[in-house]
Amino acid sequence: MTIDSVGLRVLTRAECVDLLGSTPIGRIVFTDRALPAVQPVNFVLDGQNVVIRTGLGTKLAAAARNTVVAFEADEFDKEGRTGWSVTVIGHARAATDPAEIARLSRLPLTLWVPGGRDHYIVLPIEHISGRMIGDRD
Amino acid sequence: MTQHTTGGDTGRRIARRRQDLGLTREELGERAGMVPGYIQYVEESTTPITTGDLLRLAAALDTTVDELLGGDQEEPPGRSGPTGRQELKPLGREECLRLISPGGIGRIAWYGLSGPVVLPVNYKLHDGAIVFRTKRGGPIDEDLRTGIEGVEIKVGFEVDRIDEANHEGWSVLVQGPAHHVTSEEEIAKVAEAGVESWAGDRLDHYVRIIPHQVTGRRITSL
Repeated sequence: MTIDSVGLRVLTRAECVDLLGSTPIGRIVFTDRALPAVQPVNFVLDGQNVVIRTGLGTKLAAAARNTVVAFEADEFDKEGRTGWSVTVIGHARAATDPAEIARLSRLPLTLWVPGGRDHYIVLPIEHISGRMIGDRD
Repeated sequence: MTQHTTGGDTGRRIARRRQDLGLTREELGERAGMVPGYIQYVEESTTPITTGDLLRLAAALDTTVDELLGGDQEEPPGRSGPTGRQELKPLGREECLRLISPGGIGRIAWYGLSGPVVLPVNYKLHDGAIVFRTKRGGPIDEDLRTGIEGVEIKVGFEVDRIDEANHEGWSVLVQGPAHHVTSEEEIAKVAEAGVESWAGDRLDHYVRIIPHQVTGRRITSL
């Protein structure tokens, strides 16, 4: 068991991937007018890829093309005392191959933000890290 | 009969409430008059559940249907599920600040020495700024600096309240410089904010995010 410099338990890669697969919402970080922007998104884990669906022409779609992106998911109890947090870093790319888009469109990816949702961002898990917060484990 | 969609948030709320009470699926099933397999199905899959079943589960879990549907969230539970129409509305600065004023958990993001960083922190809104604690000299403190005296790193800070079960919620993004609190006078002032920390007194350094830009959006079911 590894503990970080502030006393939180460091999660293994397998634990991180498992937790990531247990939640439908994450937050993606991208650059908007030279400032870091953070936006909640629905996502699904497709093997070792985080898949996000967004509208073509959105700020997020424009920003998350062939660039290094950070993605975070977490879950906390109501009081915010215990929970976990996982961060993924990777080179995001837009899915352009029709066969890939067809396959991605069959993933169980819940959509509830209005607007055209015809654009897929694929973020391979190149680096993943996570922490367990509080004494849940 | 009215059907509610579970799975996602509602399923997780049922599972969490059950675990909080220290009940197994078998025990909850016994209380609610349901087989354990059905409890598992309700907790894990996105399946419609009748109001009757939801009422029995709520009673067995000593809670209310509203609570299981996320009625404690900012938004009342919507009437439309995944097939309903949603509306996305931009929020004004004042409304955004009002939504994030209770404090709690937010996510801070910045471009550090080795690339983008994002992590959750406990925060309070104090004196017009976001305040959170970190470890003095720790990796976050070190990385949240430009290395140039007087030049502060620009960060993004996000807070949201999302009800996946009802497809509603809001998110707020604050952008601005991360100011390291260093003078005794300033430290005494931010200490009033009473920001909680997951690591107790080990987090002895305060950072204030000055909200230069505040934007947000709300998604409501129609």
